[in-house]
Amino acid sequence: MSTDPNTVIIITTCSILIFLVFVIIVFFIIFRNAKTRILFEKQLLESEVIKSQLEIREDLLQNISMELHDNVGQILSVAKLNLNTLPDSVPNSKMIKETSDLIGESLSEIRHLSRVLNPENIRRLGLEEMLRLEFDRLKTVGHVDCLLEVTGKAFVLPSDVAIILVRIVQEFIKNSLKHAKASQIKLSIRYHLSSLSLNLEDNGIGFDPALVENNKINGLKIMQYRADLIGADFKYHSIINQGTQLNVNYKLIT
Amino acid sequence: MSISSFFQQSVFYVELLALVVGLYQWYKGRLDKILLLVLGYLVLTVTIELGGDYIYRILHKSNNRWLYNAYNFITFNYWFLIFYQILKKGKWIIVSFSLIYSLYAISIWVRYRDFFTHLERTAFILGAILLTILIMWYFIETLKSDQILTVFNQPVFWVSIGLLLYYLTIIPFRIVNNFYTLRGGTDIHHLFILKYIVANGMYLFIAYAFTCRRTPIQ
Repeated sequence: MSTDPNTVIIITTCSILIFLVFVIIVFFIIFRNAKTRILFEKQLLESEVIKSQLEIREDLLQNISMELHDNVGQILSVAKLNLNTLPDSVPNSKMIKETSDLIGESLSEIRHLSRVLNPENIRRLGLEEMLRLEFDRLKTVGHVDCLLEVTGKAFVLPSDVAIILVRIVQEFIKNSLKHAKASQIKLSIRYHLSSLSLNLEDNGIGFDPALVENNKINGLKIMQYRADLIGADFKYHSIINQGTQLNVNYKLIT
Repeated sequence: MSISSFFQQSVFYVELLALVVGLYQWYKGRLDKILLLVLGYLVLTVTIELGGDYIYRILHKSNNRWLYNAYNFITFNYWFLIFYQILKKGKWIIVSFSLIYSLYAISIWVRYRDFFTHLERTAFILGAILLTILIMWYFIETLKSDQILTVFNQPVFWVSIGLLLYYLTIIPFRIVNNFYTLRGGTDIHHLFILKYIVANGMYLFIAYAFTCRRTPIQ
């Protein structure tokens, strides 16, 4: 083999270049790890922000619920009492009776709404009972056909999980009534051995799933965020004019 | 058999191995558009190797340099086309690279009229430099995007590493080879071993690229 200095230089150069390729691979490994860490921290931060937002919202709902129950409810109760104490001889007594009945209905509705809004009630009553209340309320005021089906052996969920699942169902109902113009909503709660699945279905106008990917449907994104917070699987399916189906599957952490 | 000829022959077999792996993955329907193009490159390379060997051996050491000149010309433009598909930005620069290389190679052949008699080296060096720039560009684009998270599961990354290993090493090799050829007489035969080793490396990286599992970004 020749010992020509040029040959030595070129062999050295080529070796360095081959070494450089390996350096590139190592560089990519380091860069990938750094980016993964940054993205993880960013996701963690986003999740914390969303969690805080939801906590603030729950606090706000609790305050509104208490205000409705304690303040507005009390005022309406007093108003109804006053009307009921009026003698039958006063003029327009029939109208006063009707007004009293209307106030009574409003009072009942406000109490119902107050119960549904208050996260404390979700903690106290649990997921299933709370969703029954919500569906009962809908039947009376929503002019919508509501079907609730429960299968499997029920178990108690952590209260934070129950609150989030109730809020997901409420968001779905709101979207079904407001945007999808649905006339029927079905909810099926299925208890499995170590998981719980909620299947929601409406017969509304549906939507184009591409709009969700383009961030044009906020409601679904909010529901997705909530499901992510408790680590639940979140799947939806919708076809225009053929309704929407939503499946939330929560696995119990053992 | 000398070490040099052992490595020389091994290149063809490793090339063939990469082709077989690629064809198997194609048969299984696992190749995307880019990998199909890479498979096309391997088919072309193996065909040219067999054709060049046939012309040289069977046709009594006939001149096969025109075949390798044409092969290099097609190969570089083919890789420019592949990187045109891979890179997301500045596609006009890739077109410019292809035009610069093609015009330079053609002008050399027209000027010296040696397409059939000499293996063109300067056009090869230019093509290799331009291709190396595109590979670096792909790396930068990958580093800037979320693709970095799954980079080791991206076949294009391993193809690029293989190409970089080969062409980055081959540039100084070709320059020195050119120098010694012009000076004449000096035996640089042993240097070819290095060329064959990096060629083997490139084909092994390509074979790996055919098999590596693509993972979507979470």
